[in-house]
Amino acid sequence: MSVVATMIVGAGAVLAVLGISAYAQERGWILRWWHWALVSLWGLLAWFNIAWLGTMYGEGEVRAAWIGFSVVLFFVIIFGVGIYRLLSDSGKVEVSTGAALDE
Amino acid sequence: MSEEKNTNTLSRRDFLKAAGLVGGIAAGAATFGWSYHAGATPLSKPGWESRYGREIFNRKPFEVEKPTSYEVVGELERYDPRYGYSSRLRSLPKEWPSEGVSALDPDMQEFYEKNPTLLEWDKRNNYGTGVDDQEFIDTVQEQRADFAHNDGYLANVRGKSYGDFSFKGPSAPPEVSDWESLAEKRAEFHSPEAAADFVKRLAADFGAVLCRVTKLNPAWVYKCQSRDSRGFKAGETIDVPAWWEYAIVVTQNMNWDTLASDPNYGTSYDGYTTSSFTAELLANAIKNLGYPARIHSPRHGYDMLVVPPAVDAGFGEFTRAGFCVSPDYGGNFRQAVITTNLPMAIDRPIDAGIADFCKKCKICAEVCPTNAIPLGDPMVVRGVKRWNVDGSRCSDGWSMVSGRSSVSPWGSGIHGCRVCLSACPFVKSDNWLHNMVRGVVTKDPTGITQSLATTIERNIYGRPSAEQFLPPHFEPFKTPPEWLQTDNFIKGLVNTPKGG
Repeated sequence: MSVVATMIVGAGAVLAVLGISAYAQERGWILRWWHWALVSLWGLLAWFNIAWLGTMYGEGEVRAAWIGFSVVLFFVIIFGVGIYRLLSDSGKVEVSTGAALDE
Repeated sequence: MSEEKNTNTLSRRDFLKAAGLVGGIAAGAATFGWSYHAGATPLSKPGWESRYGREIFNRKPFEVEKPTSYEVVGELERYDPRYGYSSRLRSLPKEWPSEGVSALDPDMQEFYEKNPTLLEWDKRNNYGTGVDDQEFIDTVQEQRADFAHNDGYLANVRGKSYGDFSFKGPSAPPEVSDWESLAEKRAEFHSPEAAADFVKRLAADFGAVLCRVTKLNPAWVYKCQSRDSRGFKAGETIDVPAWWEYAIVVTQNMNWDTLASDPNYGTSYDGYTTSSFTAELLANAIKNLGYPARIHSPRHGYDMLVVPPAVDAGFGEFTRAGFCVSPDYGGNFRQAVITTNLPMAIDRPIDAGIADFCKKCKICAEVCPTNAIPLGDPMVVRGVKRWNVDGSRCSDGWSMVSGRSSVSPWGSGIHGCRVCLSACPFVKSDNWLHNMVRGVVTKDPTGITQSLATTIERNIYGRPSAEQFLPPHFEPFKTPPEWLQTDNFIKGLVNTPKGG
């Protein structure tokens, strides 16, 4: 990956982490380290899928690009929904008062 | 006690400070590493990347003492080109004699007694019917001529232009030609390692994509030549000279896009010509250093088999399709050899799991239009256990799927098939995706990723099947590149004016 693309991907990943963190706080989720590990793996899979699509397209392998993308997208969606449900079932705290955080 | 506990606990702030320090140092080191690489990488020398010694695949971790992709199971017998498939078939009578083998020449009787499988193959190919039926091959030449004059015209122009570049192979035996034009003074290197380093660097400068050195196994030298050539009379035994101690193997690639659009739009002549060119330059250099040298190349001719030295030198492994497959280029290269006695440190063969991959993959055998590549196990040929391609069927494939060279607009030129090369899963681009797969399948001892990679390869690309390469379909493996599609550039052919 070129340096510029690496920087953009890196900055985007940082922003995504901050966004997920804010979203979790808003919903009152308590995210453990392994929640983050699962989210990271999911992000890696999604990144791989886009990179696969681009690389195969670049090689002129349009059929392989879409077949591979579709198969992996299926898993990205399944895992995405699963991980979202896992996160949403994680221990919730009262965000409105912050009382639970103080305990 | 609580105070003591507090002093031993790293505070969040201290942790962040330490992490910040480590992160800063790591970022600085990474920046230096990246910037150094940016300055030093062969990729910063546009157009000369491989000539600055760029290598895609690190062979060192895969080096072994002995090649593992073929097995010496008996006394090694030197190859005699008089018994190559085309010579054999020429020597057979028009109809198979009722007396059987005993009616053949004593030499052929002896050959077939030693190689009963080849007798079966030759009888089938010479007297059998099916895709290798000569009448069938003859009938498709008209269709192939139409292709060669129209859709395939520019591909033929390209291939023939490489082929028209002339080389002059040795015209005298080694004791004369190898010692011709040697420098008066001989260069003495600091060490064999220094000599090998210099030779490889120079080979890269001369265009070699890879250059490796091995001790020459005399068993790979032809027993004789099939006709008068390179200073030898036909059938005259080649005594392996004492100065053919080392084999320097150099390679150049065929164009990736044209190879991918075989059998119709590719040629071997780009690889043949460029590897021969590099070999000639390197042989000149070795002579200028004061050492004897002899070229064995696709365009200068050979006194030896060149695939085994390439395997011995660690380019890759011997495979199902009969050629050497490397981890970085697959089979997309043509090799040339220079024999010399310049003392050099030798390279080791590699075991990167490619031959094991071949055992499972079989894609080349499945797409071969004439079933020339075995689906089964290796067999013993001249004392070596290895896969053996049916050369006669392979040659028939050349004539059928691409047309005989006589059907080209010039009455001569290129033909060939190379579908097995195009289809080999190791013939892939140098990018993160394929390099990642290469890295995994060559290191996975379980074979699971090899099976997975083969399954994906077989199912997602939508390649033509073996039948689709044959008449009347004549499909290319992949769509040819825009610049070789005749309609994009040529509106027609007219008679060329003679003279000014």
